[in-house]
Amino acid sequence: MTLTLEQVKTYQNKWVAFAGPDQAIVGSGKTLQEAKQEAVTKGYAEPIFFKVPPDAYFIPSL
Amino acid sequence: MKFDYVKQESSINPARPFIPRPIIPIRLRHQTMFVLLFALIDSGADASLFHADVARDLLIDVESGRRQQLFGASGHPLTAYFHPVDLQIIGSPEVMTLEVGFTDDMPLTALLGQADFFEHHKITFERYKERIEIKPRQQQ
Repeated sequence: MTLTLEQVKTYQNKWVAFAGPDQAIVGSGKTLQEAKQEAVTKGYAEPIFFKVPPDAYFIPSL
Repeated sequence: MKFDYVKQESSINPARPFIPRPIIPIRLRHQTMFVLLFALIDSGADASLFHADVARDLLIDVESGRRQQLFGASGHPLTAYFHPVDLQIIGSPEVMTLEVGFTDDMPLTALLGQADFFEHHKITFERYKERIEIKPRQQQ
């Protein structure tokens, strides 16, 4: 899966829901629950969720 | 199982237009609830840690768990609450019951760390191929 720069800028620090064979973004929101609600409303029962990091290098071990 | 790194397009360094990261799809279950996530494999994390939104989606009462303070590279403390969950790599039949932390103090989805995830797997990072291979420990 590849996140484009446009997607990163649009969704950074937000939750997104991916679904379908091409892993399209089918929902987003400030919380996982918001992203889930949008995805389910569109008919995607089991999307995969991800909180999009900003366009930055990071050291994940917090 | 082999996974390609997830690539994030980046404007930081034109010589490196993508940031590849070892992120894999997982299924997390608590009682009758489950959620699918993309989780970062972090060999530097002592434990596995998830954003508290994940716990809320699983109907876990976050603050009822074992409270623990954690420190990272920044030196700033964060508070996590640990709960048992079932974790499955999507595409694998194996389900592991692990105790993982949940915190609101994290800008990421999930980190799969040493104490539980690495304890159960042989993990081979091939950054030069942008690929990761994961095998359950009992297959060694």
